[in-house]
Amino acid sequence: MRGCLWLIPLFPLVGALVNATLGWRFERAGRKGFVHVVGVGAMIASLALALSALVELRGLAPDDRLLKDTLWNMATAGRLSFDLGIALDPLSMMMVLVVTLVGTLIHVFSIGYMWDDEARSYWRFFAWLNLFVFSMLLLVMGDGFVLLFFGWEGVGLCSYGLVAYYYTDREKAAAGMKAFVVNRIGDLGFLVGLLLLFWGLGGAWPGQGRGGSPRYRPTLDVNALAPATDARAARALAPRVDVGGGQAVRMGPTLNFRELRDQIVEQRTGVAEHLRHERVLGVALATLIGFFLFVGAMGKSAQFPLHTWLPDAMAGPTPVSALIHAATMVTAGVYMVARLHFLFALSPSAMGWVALVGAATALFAASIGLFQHDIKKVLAYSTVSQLGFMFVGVGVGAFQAGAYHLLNHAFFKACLFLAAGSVILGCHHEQDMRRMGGLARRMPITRWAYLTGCVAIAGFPIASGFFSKDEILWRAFTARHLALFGMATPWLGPALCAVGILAATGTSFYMFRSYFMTFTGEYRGDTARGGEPPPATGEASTPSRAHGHAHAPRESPLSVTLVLALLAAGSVLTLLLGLPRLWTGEAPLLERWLEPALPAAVEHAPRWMEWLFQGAGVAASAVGLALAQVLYRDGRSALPARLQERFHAAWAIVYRKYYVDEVYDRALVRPALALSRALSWIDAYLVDGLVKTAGAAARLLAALDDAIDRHVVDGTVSLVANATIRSGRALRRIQTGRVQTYVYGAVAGALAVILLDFLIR
Amino acid sequence: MLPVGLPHFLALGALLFCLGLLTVATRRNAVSVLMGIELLLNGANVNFVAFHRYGAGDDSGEVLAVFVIVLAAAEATVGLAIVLAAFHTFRSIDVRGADSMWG
Repeated sequence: MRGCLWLIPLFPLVGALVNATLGWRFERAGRKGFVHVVGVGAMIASLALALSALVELRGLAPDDRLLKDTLWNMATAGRLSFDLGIALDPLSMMMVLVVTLVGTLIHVFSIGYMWDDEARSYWRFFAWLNLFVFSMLLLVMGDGFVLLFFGWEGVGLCSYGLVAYYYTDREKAAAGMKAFVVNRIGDLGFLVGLLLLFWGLGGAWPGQGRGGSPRYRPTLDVNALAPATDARAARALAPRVDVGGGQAVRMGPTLNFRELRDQIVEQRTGVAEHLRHERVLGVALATLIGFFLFVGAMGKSAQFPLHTWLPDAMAGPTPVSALIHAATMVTAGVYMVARLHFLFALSPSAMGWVALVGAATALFAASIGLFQHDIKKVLAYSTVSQLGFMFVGVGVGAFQAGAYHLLNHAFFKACLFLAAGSVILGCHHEQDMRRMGGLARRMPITRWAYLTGCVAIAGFPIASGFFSKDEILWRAFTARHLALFGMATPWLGPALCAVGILAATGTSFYMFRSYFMTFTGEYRGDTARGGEPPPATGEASTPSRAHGHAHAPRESPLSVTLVLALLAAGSVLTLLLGLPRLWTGEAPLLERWLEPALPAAVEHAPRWMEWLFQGAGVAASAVGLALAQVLYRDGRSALPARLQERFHAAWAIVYRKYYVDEVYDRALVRPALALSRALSWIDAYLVDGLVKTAGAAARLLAALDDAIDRHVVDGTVSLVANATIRSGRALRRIQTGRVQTYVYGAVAGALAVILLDFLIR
Repeated sequence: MLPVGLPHFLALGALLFCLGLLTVATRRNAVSVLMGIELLLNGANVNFVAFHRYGAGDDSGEVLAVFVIVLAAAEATVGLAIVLAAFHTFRSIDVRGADSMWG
């Protein structure tokens, strides 16, 4: 396996290239099956390699668990030199397994889901999907910021391509653009964070003098800039600091995660101290770096206020929502924060900020999810909310709990999304839950998969979600080290925990609401069609893409149900990875696995309190379930409608997503459009006017010159030529060819000469 | 009886020349034109011979007259050949018809 790590991302890339270049030929030749054979085959090869890497990694001692594979040197500039390097440590391994395993399952699901799709570009779908997996694998396997950023942008691009998959539909194409643009805003923050970090480590452009601050003088002059032409020379130039035990740390700006970690974690290098004390605009550099990097994570992981693209991204096909907008891409932000945990740990303020935004988003998105009617929108907001939970986890320092929640979420959310996809397929592309109902009998496998996902996400201790969510809330409750804007706030942890419990109650409520609305009661698809349209909500429900409701819903094909069953099993079985210490007396499996990569949290509180917490978590979930059951079971209760009447104002605010989109529209989009229109006007009338005036003047001058040339210069020449021609033409007449005429001429001439002779004499 | 002197011969030559000129200028028939040319030549010949008889002391007039006769014979040959060729081409010997090169 060593030396072959790069094959893991290579297979999806090859699959994407093959499908992108040859896929349409396959389809035209009637061999549509080749497309998914290539796509799924690439994923399976990748998964197999990932599993063999896992086996090899397990064979190593816990502290040596690192597989590295450097392909080639990418660039060298001054002392900075970076390689195209791929590395697998336990955290990356976990991510790679999630991506390849869930990715493979979703590829298989897509066969059944996309086969009869009306967009008629099966190959395009699989090419994008494979390219996405390639980018995501680069993101999680990259050994440094370069590959991380490459993958980071790559997944954004693929997300755009897949959200706007039905690009002929204007609304869906716009959703793709929205996803891309909002992500770009986050990426800007990410870049700013990276550049600040680079500068903070002493980086500077050649000729720009010294980077960093005058105080930053660890033991050697790390700012000595000398040109280096190749990678080896660049490495040799970097000063080293002896940290004892025969170990030395290479100093200076770096893009490699492990070198960065060594510099920061080793106190003797002075980097940590420098980052903490150096101030930019009165804020500690470490805080600023953490904040801006987290802005990038907010964009990618859809945290408030950059969350708006994710619900709109549901315009893509359902497998895309499952793979990209639930299981993998949106967790990239969480992965990045966990990967850079040593950097975030430098600044309690940055951590507090991460956790606060996470908790706010968790509650905010959960409340929006309460009253959505579109089944995919419910799941989208639930994803935003769960990502919030993950950020609470990594924000309070429980990196392992955050990672565990990420893992669980990948399984149960993929399961929920795919089950929703199966429902949508069964209901002929209907996504409005008010037109579903009673599907439990017609789609039993889908129903059980969805129910399993609900139980897992709601947090009942019989499936995985409980364990990670409980761990996160517990860690939040015990966290006392957080700060906000430089002020210590020991109360923040418990507050976050309270918010989290509230959000968890909401999660349980809306998930079971969606379950009851979809699967219990009577099927409403037929009746809603003939009767009046669903109550006016202000939002156009997704237009039915297909042929109405001519057929009753029925269970989806095997490739769909098989994947659902596997994912449902996965959402339950992942609980084994995180059985709490409280129950088993030893550290959870995943904690031990991640230990070398992520620091374990420290326990603070007595056992009875932890039991109490778990009880509270279950109680919250149960409250949510009970409420949903009372209100929505079988669709019989009229209570929801009455409550909606009674509290209409509040309901409308929540239903319209707190008007965030509208605010953005008024505050940002429209001014931006107005500005662009104004600029376009300036361009069209002022700039173009100037250009046109200049052009007209030049043309006038040219016309004048042309006239002179034509009439004066050419005129003279033509005159001569014309006179010649005309005289020739006239004189030609004389030459009649008749001899006798000439004789007349000759006689006349002779007579004239004689006459003249007489006259002149 | 009026003695015949040089002016009479000159008048005869001029008369012949004028008649020849008139023939050349007016006749349509190419053969007639050729005949007009003969008249012209002979008009000139009369002058030569007359000047020889009344003027010059040498024989140049007679020699020239012989030359002119030879020339006239050669001219008639070439002229008739041209007329024949013209007749082949235009199926006519009308001199006014031979104007196909008129631009």
